[in-house]
Amino acid sequence: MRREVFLARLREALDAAPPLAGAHPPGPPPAAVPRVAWPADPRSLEERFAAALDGVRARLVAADELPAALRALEVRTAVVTTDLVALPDEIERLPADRARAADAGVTAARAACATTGTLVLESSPEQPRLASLLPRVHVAAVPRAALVETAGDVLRALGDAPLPSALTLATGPSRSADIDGEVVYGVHGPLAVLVVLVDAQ
Amino acid sequence: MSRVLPLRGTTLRERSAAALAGDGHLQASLRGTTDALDGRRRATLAELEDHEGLRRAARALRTDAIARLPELLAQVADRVEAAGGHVHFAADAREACDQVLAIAGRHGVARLVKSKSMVSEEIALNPRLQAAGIDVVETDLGEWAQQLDGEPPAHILGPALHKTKADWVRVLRLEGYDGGESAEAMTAFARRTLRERFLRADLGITGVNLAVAETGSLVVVSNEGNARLTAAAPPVHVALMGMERVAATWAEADLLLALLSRAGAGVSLATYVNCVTGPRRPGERDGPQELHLVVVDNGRSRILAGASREALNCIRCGACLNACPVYRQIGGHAYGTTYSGPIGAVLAPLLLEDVPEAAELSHASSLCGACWEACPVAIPLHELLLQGRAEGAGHDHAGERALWRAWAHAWSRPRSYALSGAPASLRAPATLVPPPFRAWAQGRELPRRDGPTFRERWRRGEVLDP
Repeated sequence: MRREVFLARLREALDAAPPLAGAHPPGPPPAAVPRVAWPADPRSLEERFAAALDGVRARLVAADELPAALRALEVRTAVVTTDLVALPDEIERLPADRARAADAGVTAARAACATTGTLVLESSPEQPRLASLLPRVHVAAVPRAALVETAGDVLRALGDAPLPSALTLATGPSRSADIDGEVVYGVHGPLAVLVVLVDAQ
Repeated sequence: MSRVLPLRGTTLRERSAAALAGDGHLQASLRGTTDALDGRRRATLAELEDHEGLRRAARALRTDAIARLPELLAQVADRVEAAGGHVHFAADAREACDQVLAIAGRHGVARLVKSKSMVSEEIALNPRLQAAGIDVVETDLGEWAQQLDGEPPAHILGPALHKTKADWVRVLRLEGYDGGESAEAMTAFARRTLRERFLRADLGITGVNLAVAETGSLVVVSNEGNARLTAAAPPVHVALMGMERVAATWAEADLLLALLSRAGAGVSLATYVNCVTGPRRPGERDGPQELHLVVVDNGRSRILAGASREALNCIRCGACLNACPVYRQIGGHAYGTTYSGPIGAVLAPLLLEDVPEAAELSHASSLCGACWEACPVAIPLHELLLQGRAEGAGHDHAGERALWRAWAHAWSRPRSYALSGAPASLRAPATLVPPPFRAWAQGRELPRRDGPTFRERWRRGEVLDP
């Protein structure tokens, strides 16, 4: 159906619509969309970020702890799409289009949210979508200056600048509770997520 | 296992009886999973300041967006096209399926992966695709199990949440699983098996949780990562969207996503919130070369023209199902429709206007209001269910009305209440109930009184504090 015809039908439907059913109709829309707010927390942004990552089974690691963390996860190969973190030499680097064969994907995050432990990932020629998705371990480098409070700080600004073709808010490793309500990690995306805060922009 | 009866040719009573006839394992399974989801919903909402205020605001914003639907949809279409995507408008299920088939045909698609889309269930897309010789694989874990089992999804969010681990093992064996009842082992098997399907697929189909008019971005939420993969790996991405799923701004999307994540999966934010703005750009190594958005009406404009149009505010979190005492007993299949639970009982009679069996679904409720309380956008579902009953009754039964009035009158006065036999716990045997009311009386019981009546205790002076 042509767009004009489809939309004209909706306009007709709305014009014919009776008052809403129910004794307590909704109010008018608020002038500004209220923000989702957490109670104040005295801890620093970084401390809260680390705690939130823990809460979703991801982990904040210091740059010098990374080699040990990767060894513990038996990472031998990696696709690397950022030079913000240094990987130990023993890890073999695979070309960017071989994410499916890699144990780990090392990518940059454009920002991160402290309250929920959320990484903001963007697609670009340098940062393919599959690098953070196919390998069983995702290592994300987050510029310290790009740490914000909530997902709202990121989402609400998305209208202000051109968007990448894919922007993903990723909170922890992939998970499912489909099998008898039991939470299991590592379904179709990564099964472990390591986050490194870096000073470079 | 309980039998799944089709909607056509059966009654709600028959389908509920089939669901309740089993050994109780459906009910035990439902209780466990819906309790867990409902508990997590409450816990994650409680961590927010003034979540009641957020809910009220969300309701007002959704109502406003629906009132501006033509304008917002036009904006979505303009922006999606500006970003390089294609937009199709489908008046009904057949046209939507035709559009998807045409896209698949143009690309010579043989293999296709889907992440969970309730709209695709609603328009019965899979049988159409399969009839065209296309291999279709559902990739949401629960939806995959349902596909392998030949059953429709039984819950908006957790399609297989009625299945026990033994059921899962039985179903996965069909694909070669030889392990035990460990959820981790089964998940690892699914990851291995489905990974190949993703990477070999010629086309990926996802649903859309929200289209943001401001930028023409399609927001698709998943926890497993299957929606991300479906939108990233195959060369063509088709996004199916019910026409009501539009947010005007990112600020609105922010609020709705926070509420959706909590009400649906009981998490602060869904694991993956994927925002797609157009297809792959020049220089990018992955992502679809083509992006198609299919906007589906299929009866929604009829709802838009009616008093129950607040039902279009729904963001499909499934919270009302988990809270509903009826759903928790009979499960999703007894409804016989794509959307089950309270929201399904409101939508089905409106969406399936030509299916007479759907009309009685507004009676699949005790009108307790637990659905309304659980709804993150505060849809007054219990009131819409009543509205559905009124519309279903069609004409005015003057006789029935007089009878209810007489009953109300009798039980509002001590003498006639006593005369009715109710305080003495007398009740007429079902065989004495006259025929027009026999069906109504079936399954309804007057509460049994425990001990003396209030009036007896009052007379004896037991009611007052000593």
